[in-house]
Amino acid sequence: MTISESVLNITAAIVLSLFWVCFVIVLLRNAVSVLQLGLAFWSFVTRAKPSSSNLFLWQRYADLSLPVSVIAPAFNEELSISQSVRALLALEYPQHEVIVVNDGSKDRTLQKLIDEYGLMPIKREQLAVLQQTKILGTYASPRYPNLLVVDKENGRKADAANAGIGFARMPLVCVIDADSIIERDGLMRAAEPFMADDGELIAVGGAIRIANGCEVVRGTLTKIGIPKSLIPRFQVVEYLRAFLIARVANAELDMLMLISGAFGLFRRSVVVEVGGYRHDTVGEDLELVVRMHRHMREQGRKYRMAFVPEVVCWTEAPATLQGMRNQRARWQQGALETLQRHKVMIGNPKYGRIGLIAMPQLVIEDVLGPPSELIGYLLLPIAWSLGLLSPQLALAFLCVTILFGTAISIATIALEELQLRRTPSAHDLVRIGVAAVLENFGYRQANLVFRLVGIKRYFKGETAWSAVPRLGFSAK
Amino acid sequence: MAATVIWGSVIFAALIIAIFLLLVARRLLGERRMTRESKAMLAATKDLLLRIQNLEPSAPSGQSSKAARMHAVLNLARLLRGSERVKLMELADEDGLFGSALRDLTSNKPRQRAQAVELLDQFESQKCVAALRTVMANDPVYELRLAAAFTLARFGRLPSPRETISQMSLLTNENSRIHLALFRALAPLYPAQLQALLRDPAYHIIKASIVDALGWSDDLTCLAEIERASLDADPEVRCAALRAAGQLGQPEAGNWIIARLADPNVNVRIQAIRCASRLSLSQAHAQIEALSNDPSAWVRCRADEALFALQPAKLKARI
Repeated sequence: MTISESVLNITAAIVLSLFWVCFVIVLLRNAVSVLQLGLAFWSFVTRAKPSSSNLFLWQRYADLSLPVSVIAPAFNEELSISQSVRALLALEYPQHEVIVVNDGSKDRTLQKLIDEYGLMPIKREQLAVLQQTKILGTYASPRYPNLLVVDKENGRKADAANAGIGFARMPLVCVIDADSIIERDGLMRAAEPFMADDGELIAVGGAIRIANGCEVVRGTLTKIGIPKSLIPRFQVVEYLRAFLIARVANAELDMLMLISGAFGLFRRSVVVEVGGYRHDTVGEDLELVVRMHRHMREQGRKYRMAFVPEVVCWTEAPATLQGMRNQRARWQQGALETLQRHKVMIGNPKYGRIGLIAMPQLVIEDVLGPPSELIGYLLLPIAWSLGLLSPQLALAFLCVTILFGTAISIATIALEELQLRRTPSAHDLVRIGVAAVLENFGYRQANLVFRLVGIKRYFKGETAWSAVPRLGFSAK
Repeated sequence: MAATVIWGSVIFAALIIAIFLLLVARRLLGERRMTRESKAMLAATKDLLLRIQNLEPSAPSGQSSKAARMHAVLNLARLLRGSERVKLMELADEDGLFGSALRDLTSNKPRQRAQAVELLDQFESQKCVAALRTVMANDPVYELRLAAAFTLARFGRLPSPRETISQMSLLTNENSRIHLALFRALAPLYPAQLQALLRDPAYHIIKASIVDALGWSDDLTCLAEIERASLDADPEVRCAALRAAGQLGQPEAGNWIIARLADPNVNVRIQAIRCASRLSLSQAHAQIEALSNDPSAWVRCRADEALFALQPAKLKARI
C-alpha cells in the first residue's frame, strides 16, 4: 500500500466516523423529540382544563389572586407605546400595575407617554436596585393609578427589566417585551397556578404564538390569522413545536429550563434574591431560569416552575432571513453563554434532574445537535460520491432528519388541533401542515447555519445585541 | 440498522400524517356542520322559550337533536334569571339533556368524569346538585372533588362547613388560595356555623381561614367575633380579621383597626393600612402618615398608596 493510498484510507475512515457520530447525535435528538412528544401528549390528556367555576371564584374573590407588576421595557417605541400601554392597563386581572421602563429611548417614547396618560414626575422608592444604569426619573398618572413609568439611561432589555423589577411592589412580576401582545385574560391564565400553590411555585411560563398575519387593533389581538409569507409561517410551526412539545414535556418532568423573554411570570422575591437578569449575556431569559434552578437547589429549597400551554401572548416574528439570522444567532450564543456559566451543573447529581437530564439535554440540543446535523448534510454528498457511504445509509440519514422532522412538526400541529384548537380553519390547518413539510427543504438548514453564526459569535466573545427588524401588525 | 431506521421513520411519519389528515377532515366536516347546527339551535331555542312561557312549541322538542337542545339550554342559561332560569333547568331535566353527563360521573376515566363535572357546571337542577355533592364527597381524584365543590359554591349549594372541611381535607394550615375561596363561599350560607367553629378547638388550626371567610358572610353579627380575632396571638389570624373587616365595610370597626396600625408584625400593619384605606377611615390619616417612615419598605409603600387613596391631592402636592 502506497503512502497516498494510506492517506486516502485514513481520510475515508475519518469522514465515515464523523458521519456516524453526526448520525448518532441526530438519532439521539430524535429520541428526545419522540419522548417529549409522548410526554406532552400525556400531559395534555391528563391535565385539568381551566374550568368556568375557577373563573367565577376569581371574579368573586379577586383579592385572593396574587397582585402582579407587569414590566414592559421600551426602547424607541414612540409609534406603538401608547397603544401597548393601553392594552396592558386593560388586561383582565384583579390587581395589576404596569411599569413601563423607558430604556434611554432616542425618540419621543417618554414624551408620548407623558402626553397620553397625563404623567407627572413623582418620587417613588426603588425597593431593590438591580440595574447598572442611572434612573433619570419616575412618573405616575393621577388618571391611571396603576401605571408607573421609569425613565433611565440606556442599557439592555435585561437592565431595563431589572430596573422595573426594583420598582415593582407586587409579589409577582410579569416581564414582557414592549411589543408582546398579551391575551386579555392571558395574565389570569398564567397566574392561575399560583392560586393552587402551596408556596413552592416560583415561576410560570406560558405559550407564545406568532402574531404575523393576525389582526391587531390598539395593541389587542382581534383576529387570529396565518402569515402570508413563508418565513413567519415556518416560525408558526417552530413555535408550536417549542411551546406545545418541548416546554410542556419539560414542565411535566419539573425541568422547565426556559421561560421566554416575551412573557414570563416570576415570584418577585426570588428574582430579587438571585439578582435579577444578568447584563452580560444575550440569552438573559434562559440564564435567569437556569440560575434560579441552581440557586434553589444549592440552598436545598423546595420549588416548582410551571408552564401554561394555553396561549397567553403573541409576538411578532422576524419576516426576513436577515432578521432570523440575528435572532437565531443570538439565541444560540445565549445558550452557549449560559451553559458555560453554569457548566458545573452539567451531569452533576447535586443538581438532581436539572443537572443529570435537563442540562445534558441542552448540550445535545444547543451544542452538539446543530453542527452535527449540518456536518451530516455536508458529508453526505462527499461520502456518497467517494463511494464511502451506501445509498441505504444516506437515505437513513435523510429519513431521520427530514422525514422524522416533518413527522414531529405535523404531530405538534395535530396535538394543537386536538387540545387547543386556536388555528382558525381547516384551510389554515392545511397551510401550516404544508409549511411543516416545506420547512425541511432549505429553512431548516438555513437555521442551522444561523446557529453556527451564533457559535462563532460566542467563541469571538461578541457582546453586541443584533437587532431584529419588525414590520408591525396589520390592523383594520 | 439503516433499514430499521428508514422503515421506522417512514411508518412513524405515515402514521402521524394519517392522524393529521383525519383531524383536518374532522375540522372540515365540523365547519360544514356548523351552519346546519346553528339553524337547529335557533329552532330549539325558540321551542324552549315557548315552553318556558308555558306555551306549546311549534314542533315537539324531540325533533331537534340533543346536541342542538343542549347548546340552546347553555346559551339561554347565560341570559335567563330567576323563575325563568329555574323553569329552563326543569325542562332540561325533563328532556334528560344531562343524563349522559350524570352517567359519565361514574365513569372509570377521570377525564370523562372531569368533562361531566364541567358540563354540569351549567345546570343548577336538583339532580345535578345531588350528583355533584356525591362527586365532592366520594371521587377518588382530589382535583375532581375540588371542581365539584367550586360548582356547588357557585350555585350556593355547598354542604355544611363541617362536611365541606372534612370532604375537602381542609383541616390543615397549608390551604391554598383556592381553598380560602371555598371557605368564603361557605360564609354567606352558614355564618353561625362558621362562628361556632371558631370556638371549637379542633378547628383552631384553620382559624385564620374561617375569620377571613366571615368577612364574606354579609352578617354584621360576625363583627364581634372578628374584633376578638384581631387580638389573637397568631399574626395570620389578626391579618385575616383585618381583611374580613375591610370586606364587611363597617366603619364602626375603625377603632380597633386603627389600633392594629401599631401592631408589631409587619404583615398585620400592612393589612391594617389596606383595611383603613378600604373603609376610608380619615381618622387613621395621621397614623398612616407616620407609617410612611416605617422601618419596613413594604409598610412604607402601602402607606403611600393608602395616603394617595385617602387624599389623592397629596400626590399632586408632592409633584
